[in-house]
Amino acid sequence: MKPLLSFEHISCYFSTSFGELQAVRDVSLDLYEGEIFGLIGETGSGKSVLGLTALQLLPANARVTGEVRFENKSLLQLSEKEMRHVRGKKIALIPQNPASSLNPVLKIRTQLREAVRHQKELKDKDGYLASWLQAVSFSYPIKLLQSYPFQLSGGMKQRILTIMGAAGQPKLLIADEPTKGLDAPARHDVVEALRNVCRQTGTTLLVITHDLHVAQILCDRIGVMYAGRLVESNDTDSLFATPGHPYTEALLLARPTAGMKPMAGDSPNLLQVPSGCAFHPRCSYASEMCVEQLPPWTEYGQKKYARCFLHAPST
Amino acid sequence: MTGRQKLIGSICTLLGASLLAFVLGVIAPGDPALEVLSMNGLNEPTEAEIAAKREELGLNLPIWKQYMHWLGMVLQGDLGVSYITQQSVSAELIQRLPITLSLACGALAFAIGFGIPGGIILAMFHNRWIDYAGRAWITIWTAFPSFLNAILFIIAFSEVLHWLPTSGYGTWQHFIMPSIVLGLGTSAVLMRLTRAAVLDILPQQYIVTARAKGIHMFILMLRHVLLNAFIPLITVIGNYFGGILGGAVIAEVIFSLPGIGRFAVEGIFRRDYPVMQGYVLFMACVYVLFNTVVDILYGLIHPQLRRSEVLK
Repeated sequence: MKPLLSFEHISCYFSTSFGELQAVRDVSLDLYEGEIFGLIGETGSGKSVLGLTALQLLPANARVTGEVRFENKSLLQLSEKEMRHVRGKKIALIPQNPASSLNPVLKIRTQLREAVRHQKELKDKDGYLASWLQAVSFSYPIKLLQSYPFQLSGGMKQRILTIMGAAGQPKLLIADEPTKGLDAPARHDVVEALRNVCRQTGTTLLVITHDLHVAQILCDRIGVMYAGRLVESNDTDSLFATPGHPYTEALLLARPTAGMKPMAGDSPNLLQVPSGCAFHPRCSYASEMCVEQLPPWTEYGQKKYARCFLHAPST
Repeated sequence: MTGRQKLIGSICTLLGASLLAFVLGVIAPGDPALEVLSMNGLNEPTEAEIAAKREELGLNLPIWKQYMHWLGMVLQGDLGVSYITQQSVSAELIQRLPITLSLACGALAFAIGFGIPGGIILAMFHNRWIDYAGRAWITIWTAFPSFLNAILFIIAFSEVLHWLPTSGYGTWQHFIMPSIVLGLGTSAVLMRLTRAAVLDILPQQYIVTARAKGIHMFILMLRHVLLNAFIPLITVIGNYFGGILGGAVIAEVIFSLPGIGRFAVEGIFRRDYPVMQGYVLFMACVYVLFNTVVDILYGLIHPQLRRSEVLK
């Protein structure tokens, strides 16, 4: 099967006042049509940055190397104008931070209609949007369309943003922390909405989250990022049952349901990433080799990948 | 603030301005009666003549009575009669109003039409040579006083290039130079503020959201960036309109435009109290009116000011 979207050796650098910082390190990843892929990792692991490279929406101080292929087209070569025809129509974004992601002076209607702007065959756009709003359990869609962002709660804004991404019926939807800061009922609504969108329209979904529970109930496959590198890629069930990378294992042990065992050590400083495997200072399996060499990306089972010497063929 | 509070506030402002305008006339040195009688500069008025004139002008009444009497007249639209020309001050003001208004509107239109698009362009070319050149331009025109600009413009566009008339009044060409000179400082301020506001808005998360929808750059700038930038800009435009009206005095004198500003300056030189008082009061009214318009515009753009309902 051909992938819908491929990240090929993506590296991303930011020039900062402290020097150049590498947020993403040589990440290669394939997304297949119709699947829900989760990208997990702690804050600063580069998962959001990786997602935004596909849309070329990184800030001006960012530099990307590598290639993003979408439907066999190379996205990073496209001009801003060509990219405009990809954004929203082919690849849409559900941005993070619902509180600041809606324009404060525009009505919800105006902002949602921009997302379905390219659907020329659609006669009753408001009716179409209203049906989407009802699908994420808004009781008064028409009233909602006439309201402004400041009249809505955080959970409502998040659901609006979810629709803003999905209503344009893109091939690929990138959801950046779609459940961040939401309480349990609102989180449930958003997860349900995302799942329904994908199942009904066949949209491929890339979910970027640090909520392991959301990743578990929503995703078919999961990739784990640490200090800018992809350290594991696995199907959801086996990732939670038998994690392939010690970092994933530590993440799972830190969950409240697993006894909240805290991970040793501190998050890596991206300006001074540890040598070899960046996780070695915090890893209980670490050996001399982990300090000196970067472990290879190894397929150690059916579609199970990890970047760890525990699975490397030579050991 | 509610509309009613705003209205009460405006009335208080106007009453305060009227009191100030009146007191200004009272505390100013020089005896108006003497001024009137000796204005031809030939004959020395006698004590009796002065006393008679004081009585005629009502200068012997207690101050508060003079104020009440004056305010009563003002409310009927009568700002008194000029001591010097014996003409009705309100009639003079109304007759000169179109000139000053054209000048001020021209200056404001220039300041907005040049400053806001300029600021957007500088922000879009942030830290490129256009931006640096624009910032130098802003510094120059904020620093130069308008009377100096006026002289430089007359030399350049009238004496050397012969494009525009030096001074006077009659055709629309007569308003071009005064309007630009008057609006130049404000346009520079607006340009700097627009640039700052746009630079502040561009990295906002909602701009990323809008760009992710693939909308056209033009719509992005107009609908998403500029509409938000207008919120701080409108407040500043409202405040600077007062400055433009004040600056109109200088432009009118230099370019010989028979507007309200020049009328006031002539009144001040001749200690013509009714003219000074009329000018102060009139300007206060215009200022309050303009600020009310700004408040209304502000509410139109900023939805939070007119809607408070929270949806559940």
